[in-house]
Amino acid sequence: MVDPILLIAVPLGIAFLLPLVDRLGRAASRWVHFLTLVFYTGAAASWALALHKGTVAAKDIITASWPPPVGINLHMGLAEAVILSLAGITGICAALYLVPREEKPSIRSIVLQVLLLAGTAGLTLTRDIFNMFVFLEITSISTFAIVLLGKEKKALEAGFKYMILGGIASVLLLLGIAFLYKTTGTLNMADMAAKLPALFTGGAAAALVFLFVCMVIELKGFPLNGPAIDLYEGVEPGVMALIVGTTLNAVLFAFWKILPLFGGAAWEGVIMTSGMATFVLGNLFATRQKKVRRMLGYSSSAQVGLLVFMLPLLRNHVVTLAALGLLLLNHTLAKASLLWFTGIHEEEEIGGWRGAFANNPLLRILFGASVLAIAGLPPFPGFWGKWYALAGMARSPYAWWILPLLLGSLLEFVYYFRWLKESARGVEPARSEVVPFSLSAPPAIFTAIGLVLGIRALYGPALGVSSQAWLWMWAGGILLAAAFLPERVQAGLSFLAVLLGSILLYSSGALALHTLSGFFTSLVVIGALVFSLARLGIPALHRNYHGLFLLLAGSLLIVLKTDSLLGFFAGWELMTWTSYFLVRQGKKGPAASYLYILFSGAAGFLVLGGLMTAVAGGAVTISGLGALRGNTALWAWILLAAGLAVKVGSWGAHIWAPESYSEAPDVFTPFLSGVISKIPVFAFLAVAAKIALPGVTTTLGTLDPAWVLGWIGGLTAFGMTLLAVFQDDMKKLLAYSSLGQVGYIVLGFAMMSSLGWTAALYHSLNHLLFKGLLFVTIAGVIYRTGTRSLSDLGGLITRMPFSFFAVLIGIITLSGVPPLSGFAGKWLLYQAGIQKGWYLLTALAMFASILAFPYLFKLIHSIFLGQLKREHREIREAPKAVVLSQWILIAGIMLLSVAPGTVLVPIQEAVKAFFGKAAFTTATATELATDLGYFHAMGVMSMVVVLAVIVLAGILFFLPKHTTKVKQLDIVYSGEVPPPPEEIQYAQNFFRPFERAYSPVLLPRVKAFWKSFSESVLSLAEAGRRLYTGDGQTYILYALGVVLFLVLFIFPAPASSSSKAPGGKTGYIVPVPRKARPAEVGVQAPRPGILPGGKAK
Amino acid sequence: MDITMVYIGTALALVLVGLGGVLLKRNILKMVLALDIVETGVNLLLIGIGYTPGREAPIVDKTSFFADRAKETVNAANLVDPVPQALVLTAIVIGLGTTALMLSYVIRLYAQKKTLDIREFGRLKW
Repeated sequence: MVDPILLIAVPLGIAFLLPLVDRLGRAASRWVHFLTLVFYTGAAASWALALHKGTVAAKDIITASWPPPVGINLHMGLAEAVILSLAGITGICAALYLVPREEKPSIRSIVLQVLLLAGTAGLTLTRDIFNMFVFLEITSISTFAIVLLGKEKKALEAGFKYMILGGIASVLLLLGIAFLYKTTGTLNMADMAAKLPALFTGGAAAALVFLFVCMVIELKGFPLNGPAIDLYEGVEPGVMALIVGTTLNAVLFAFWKILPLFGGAAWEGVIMTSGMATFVLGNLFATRQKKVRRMLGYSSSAQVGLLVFMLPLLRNHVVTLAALGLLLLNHTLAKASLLWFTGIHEEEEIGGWRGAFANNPLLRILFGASVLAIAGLPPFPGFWGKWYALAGMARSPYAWWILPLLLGSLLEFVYYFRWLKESARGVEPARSEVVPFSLSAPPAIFTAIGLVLGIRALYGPALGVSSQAWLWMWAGGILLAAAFLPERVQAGLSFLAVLLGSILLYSSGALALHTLSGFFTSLVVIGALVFSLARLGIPALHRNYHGLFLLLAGSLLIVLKTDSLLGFFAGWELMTWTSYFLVRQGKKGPAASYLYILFSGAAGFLVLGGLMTAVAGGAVTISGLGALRGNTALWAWILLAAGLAVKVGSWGAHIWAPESYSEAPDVFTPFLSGVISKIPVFAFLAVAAKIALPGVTTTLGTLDPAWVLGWIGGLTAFGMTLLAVFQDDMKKLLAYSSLGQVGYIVLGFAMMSSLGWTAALYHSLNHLLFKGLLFVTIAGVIYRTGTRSLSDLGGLITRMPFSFFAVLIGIITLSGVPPLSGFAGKWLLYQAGIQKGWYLLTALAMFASILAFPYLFKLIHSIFLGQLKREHREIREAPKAVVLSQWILIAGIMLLSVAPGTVLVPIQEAVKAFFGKAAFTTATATELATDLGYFHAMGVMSMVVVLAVIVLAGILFFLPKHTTKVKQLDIVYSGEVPPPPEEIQYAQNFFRPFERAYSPVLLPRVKAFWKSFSESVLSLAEAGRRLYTGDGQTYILYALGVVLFLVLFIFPAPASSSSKAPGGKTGYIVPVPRKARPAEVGVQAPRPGILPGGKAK
Repeated sequence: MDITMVYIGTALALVLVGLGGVLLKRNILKMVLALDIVETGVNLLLIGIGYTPGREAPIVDKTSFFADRAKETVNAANLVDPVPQALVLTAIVIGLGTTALMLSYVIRLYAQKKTLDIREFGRLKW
């Protein structure tokens, strides 16, 4: 192994030699620079690997042959090795990136970059507090000298303000060191931490305040982060990326090393509060930020705040080193990538990002991936880090801190995804940007590192990701990589992959209907197969469609199959972002998908909160949820149910759904409505219900939470149906209708009875069939006519007869009348309601069901009946693939209509496993009997067919012999001026009187609520960020204010300077490790044990 | 009064004067100088902390360091604490570096805007 001291000595020596080397030519010095970096990275990485594997032990290096505490000692452990490897890789990438960006390249920049790495190594390795000060100054001098060399004019003032504040910070540090040295007589960190409690004085108390404020300034803590954020805005992003990857981590680690000095509950509270305040407020202020780099500055400050917040938790063994390491790694990788992107696309304002990297698909994917990584979505390391950290916190007395943490994370979604929204491809042709290799390589390398680490974590055996799911996801990944292939080839390959995957799933028995997961897997397979088939006829708009679709399907298989809570949530979040990108591909997709990801993100955090409550109760697996009792069970259930209710678009949180459904690509909407909206239902049944059955019969006061959920479902069914009636956009009409239908499913689930669940499951399948049928048919109509507006259509029955028939079958099924399959579902649901005694709710559901007739009538009439428009006279039937998929779906509906028992019998078996009671008294394929009723599907069907034949025959028989068909404009005008043809279109102002009658209920109150909510959050952010006035002296005043506040109010000196370790609130308390692990105090500072990195436990 | 307290008192006074300068002077050149005064104060404080009245500077010569040359034992009791003095030496060097860098910032800032008023450099905010 390389002696760690060389990590400091070699770059330091090279830095001084480089000006000489430069005499041989710039190429020579670049080579020397590169080789130094390679040596540095290689040495650090070999230490990291060896320490991780355990082949070498952590090493203490004693300098000048004086053992500590007299001599200065360095320490090389796993954390140090990882931080330095990261610094080395950042150094290489930054060097690559900065070469073409320097205006007048000079050797000075290279020298300073090497010096910065030497400083980083020293700061990370040293265990001597004064040595730490020296290296801190070395890094900050080299940093600000690099800034001074830059071409950005704004960088100067930012750099100066930061230097002045940094000067205050180093004065504070020096003062702190002086007082601590006076108190303890040593400069060795571990020695000092060991001696301090016994010798504690007022001077030492003040010293700790000074040290802390210095660290707050260096780590960009609130409210002292003003100049640091200016730096992000003003300085060349390549330089900022270098700082993020080197100094920032090293300073954070330095804080960790001196953390043992800060003993006691009061300090723990101050550090954690300061970190969390920085995290939440930084993210809040960033939401108002229009300047991209400044936004990244706020975000960096926030992320580091989160890490600072976790340091005391790491010391208490609440959070593992692995979790913190993953978060740090993720932040470095993603933030550096994003900073590099802001340098490639040099637009200051977020508005200038429209169509960024439009003709560079690789950069677009990398950019999207970096945003996913920074938002903490899987498979990137941050996701795993956050989960492990939260799981640790949930089981500790610090559980309440999870709340602000999730809030801050949601705020991150707000501004990062707004950036993605703004960067969507515009209508205008994109500017062609030629990006040299050395600019695009660094973000590619960093994203690849994150991806590899993340995918490795996803392979963890405890997560239960099946090989089937991997197959789908790898197929998706390969298709994404092969996005250059023609659309047709991709569609074909994607269909083949789906077919192969489905066959494999079938042959492995994963589609068994009598298990919950098998039932929902069947839904996914049916949806994927049929809609992939339809897509063969209607090309996707975007080249990444097919790859993302397979990824999405794979993530659904994870959710459906895994038993691990972490695996479940990983699949859930994968589903969230893959579907987000698919929705985004529609014409107006960016805006709609932004709303989609905000609500999905909120739903995700609610689900996460619920899962964390479960983890706090000791659960690790889904099947272990049943062991939860009492309040833990209740709150886990409530949070999960709330998250799932948002995700299905229940009333109150539904505003995202119509937009997303209607703006998503036409070929994707059927999958979104038919399959994705069922996944929360599955989670209801498989996850929430595990808790519910033993636990939630206890009530929330006198209120039964299931009853509340039932009303939410019922109101959703009613309200969405009502809104559907007045839509002119046919996709929006069907979107509202979908929400209403899922409302019925939620209602059925909430009943918590075997009949209710049977109804809910059956309706899930049925809804997939008929809504899929309607959406696919509509997609064909839109593909042919190019319009979504009902009032632009009419009379298409002659041009598209198959589509007409498909819609006819679809709406009859949806309306729930015999003889088609919709009836059995409604019939079961009403019975379940009556059995449960929820009469009013059942009546409401029934009324909502009747309310569906008007919009169904409107749908079929406006499109297919009435007058054919002139411009539609030449229209052809939908593409063959679409018609074929229509027929498959119709066949499914017919099967269910005649023999509902083929599905209901297995469903009954699945439900029986939960309730121990069958829903039916007797059930065969065609005959069903419950406690309340009897239904013979075959009989009803035969009867209807016979009646229909008689009626049709009668019509044909009595039809007049000679009829003339009138066209739209065959009207006699008695001297009047005829109105324009579009106004005499049947669908124009359809149901206008009806709308007037309902107008009081239809006011967009929910939308108004969310609008004012978001406005008040934004105005809060606007008011808050005024704190950063831009005046350098104000910032210094803040710093001194924080010092005074802490000295006067939080840590007043002990009454007499000789009093030893008072146990009171303000004094010094010897830290008590929470677990049985003894504090290792001695030559080395207390360090946590090494935990396996990124592996699930 | 203990002579050490004089050192420490002077040092703290210097720190306060410097901080006052940093906060009250609008001229960035004066701010840099004020910061330098603060640093000097802190350095003096370090020396003051290490000083014990009646002892000698920790400079190694035959009379003080090896009091009994034959035994070659260190007569540390005659010396003040050498560590703070070493620290101050280092801190002075570092202070020189940072001050020089800050002054070069001042030069560049002046070249850019032809003013030294800190209020003029508030373009980056919020």
